[in-house]
Amino acid sequence: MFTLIRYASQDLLYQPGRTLLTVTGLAVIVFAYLILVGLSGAMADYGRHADVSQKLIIIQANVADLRHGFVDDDALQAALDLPEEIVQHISPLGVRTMRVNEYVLSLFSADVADWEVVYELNLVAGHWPTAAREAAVSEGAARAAGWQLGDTLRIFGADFKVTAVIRAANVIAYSSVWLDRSETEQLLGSRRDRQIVFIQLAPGSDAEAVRRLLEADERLDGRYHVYFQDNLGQRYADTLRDIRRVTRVVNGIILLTIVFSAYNGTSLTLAERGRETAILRALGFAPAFLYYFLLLRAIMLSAIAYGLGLGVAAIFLTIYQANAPLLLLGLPLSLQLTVNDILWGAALILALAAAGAWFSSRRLVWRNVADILRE
Amino acid sequence: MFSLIRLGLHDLVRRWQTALPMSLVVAVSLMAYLTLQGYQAGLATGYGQVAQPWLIVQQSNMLGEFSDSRVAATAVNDLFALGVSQAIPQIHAVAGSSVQDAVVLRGVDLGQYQQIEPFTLVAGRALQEGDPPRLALVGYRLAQAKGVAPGETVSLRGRDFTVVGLFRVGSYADNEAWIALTDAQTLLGWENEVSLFVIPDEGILHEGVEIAGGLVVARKGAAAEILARQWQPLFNLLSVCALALGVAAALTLTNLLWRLAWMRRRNLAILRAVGFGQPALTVYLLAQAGCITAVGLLLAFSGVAGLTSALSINNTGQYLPWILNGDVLSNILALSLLITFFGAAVPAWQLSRLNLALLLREE
Repeated sequence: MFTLIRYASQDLLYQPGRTLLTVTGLAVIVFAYLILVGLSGAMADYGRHADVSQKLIIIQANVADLRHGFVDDDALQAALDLPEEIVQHISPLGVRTMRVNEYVLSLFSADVADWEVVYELNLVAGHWPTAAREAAVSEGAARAAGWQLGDTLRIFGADFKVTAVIRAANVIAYSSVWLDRSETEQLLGSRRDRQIVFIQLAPGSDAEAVRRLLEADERLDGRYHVYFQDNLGQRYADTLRDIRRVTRVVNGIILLTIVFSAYNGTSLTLAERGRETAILRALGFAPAFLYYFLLLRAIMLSAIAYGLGLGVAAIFLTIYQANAPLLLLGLPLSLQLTVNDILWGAALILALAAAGAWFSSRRLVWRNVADILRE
Repeated sequence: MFSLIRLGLHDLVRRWQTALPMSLVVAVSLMAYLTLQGYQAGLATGYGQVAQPWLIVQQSNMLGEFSDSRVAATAVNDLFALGVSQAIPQIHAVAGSSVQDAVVLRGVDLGQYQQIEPFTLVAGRALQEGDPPRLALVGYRLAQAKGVAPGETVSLRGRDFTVVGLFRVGSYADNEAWIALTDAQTLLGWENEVSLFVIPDEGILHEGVEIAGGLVVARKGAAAEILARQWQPLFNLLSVCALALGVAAALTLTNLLWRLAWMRRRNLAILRAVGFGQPALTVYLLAQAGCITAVGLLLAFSGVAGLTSALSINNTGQYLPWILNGDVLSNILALSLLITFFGAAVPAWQLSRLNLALLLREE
């Protein structure tokens, strides 16, 4: 084995320029592959929430976009009638897509008192709205639009002063503006501004039992669904499903280039060194030795390329994400490579390179020595 | 010149088992670029703002041409009081129970809708005044996605609407189902509300003007342009990957051609010795690079055709079309030429640096 590794290393170093060209070509493919892995991983992970077990949501059934739904008074009352000992907070939430200048953001409206405890908003700067016509903006929205504390936002024909910059635990609120419910009720009318009802259960409550209890309530009457909070992120993630699928298919196709490149590299090596190969065999080297030598050579080239591609991809992603996450349709995507991605990628690429080398060398190595020497 | 091209291609055909995988490497990079360019063109064509002689009056801060805006139908009186000559109501909403089966819905005033959005009838007939309820005029993209034709039904919020015709506008509207305004109000439970009013741009109201009741005037089509811009960060990132693959293809092609030329170095040296100069050598390599890239380009087109027909991108009822237009074609040809030239240039330069006498002495 060590002899094989030594021979393969010496062979790669024999023509450093050519090796460098091959490695660079493969490394660039690895780079593109890893960026797309990071992207599709970010879309797959979108909306996953760490602590979801104690929060339920009520949303209208059969509504593709929950912003077009509405939770009526009966459904809200069903939640309010839950026993006090199992419920900590019940909070109606209004959700809208809003355009401010060139930015598309989410507008959430809920009682200010619920912002921290139910929606897990953290105050980054300023103070929570206490007076009329005050608003909070998320860090993502503030960064995108260049808003600062004290700025005035024109929303639904009224001027709101930014008094708070917040950070939301839930990614769906990354680019958002938050108003107190009383403001939107006044501007829009309460009928339009209750797309979701959040139910925060008391610690130790059996959330699944409460969920089933509510769904069975005749006031919901099949017109509403009760889900765990993570369903919200999943619904948003669903909008990215097709893009994720296309990305994965393209990435699968990209992997094929590794096979073709390894195939080409090995078959050219054999074509260039047909005579040397034959001489080695005439000297007593077994065909299997040469065969493993070529496989190892292809694997070593791919391993070096993978390391190089991985390094460049990691640097690129770090720089790319340094200021802000990728925003796709207003949703923040955190591009990152997990250890799992890296190990799977390495295994796949080395295996595909070996497959390419195997395809090209399987016939040539076993050719008749005399025939090769006569050519 | 032609003899060198023929020689180059002949050498390549002899090594077809090496040349074909190389074409596949080129095909993958061109395919990635072509896919991306086609979707960007689809976005620009479908959502790009065209010069619209119409303005819209909608709830402020909303993207009324897609959803969310709600305006009382009585607002039409305020508009007429301001001197506006025409105010055509519309409803824009999304129907469906999930992102996958979502349908973008437009409620239209049957007497006036054809003035606002000129369309070509692809099949059947248009909606007209006096039509019974529950009829729909369906955009051709939506019809393709749902597999419906005139005479068949399309389900909107659980109610069946009979398709009377298919239309084509050439914009995102081709994803929509148009129904009578009153049908839309009943279906959505909007009573006497609409999403917006379309008004002529006759100099009375201007973009950005606020109207009592939290309404604002916007340019028709502006919302689509803003939404299209939301895709840009993704396209920017994917462009980096597509161009990286282009670089990889060029490097791999360089490597291949150099090694093929190296194996034929003695023959090429003889050609140089009998009077064929450096340009002749370049032609020889360009013929090979061009052939590999051309095959790759053909494979890329086939691959993209298969990929885009098998996988559609649907974002809550808005299908992102893949379009091949002049810009896409010229961009993909430019990338192909770059790969070809880069692939041939480096080996040509390397070969020209080699000593002719030494090459001729080689066995």
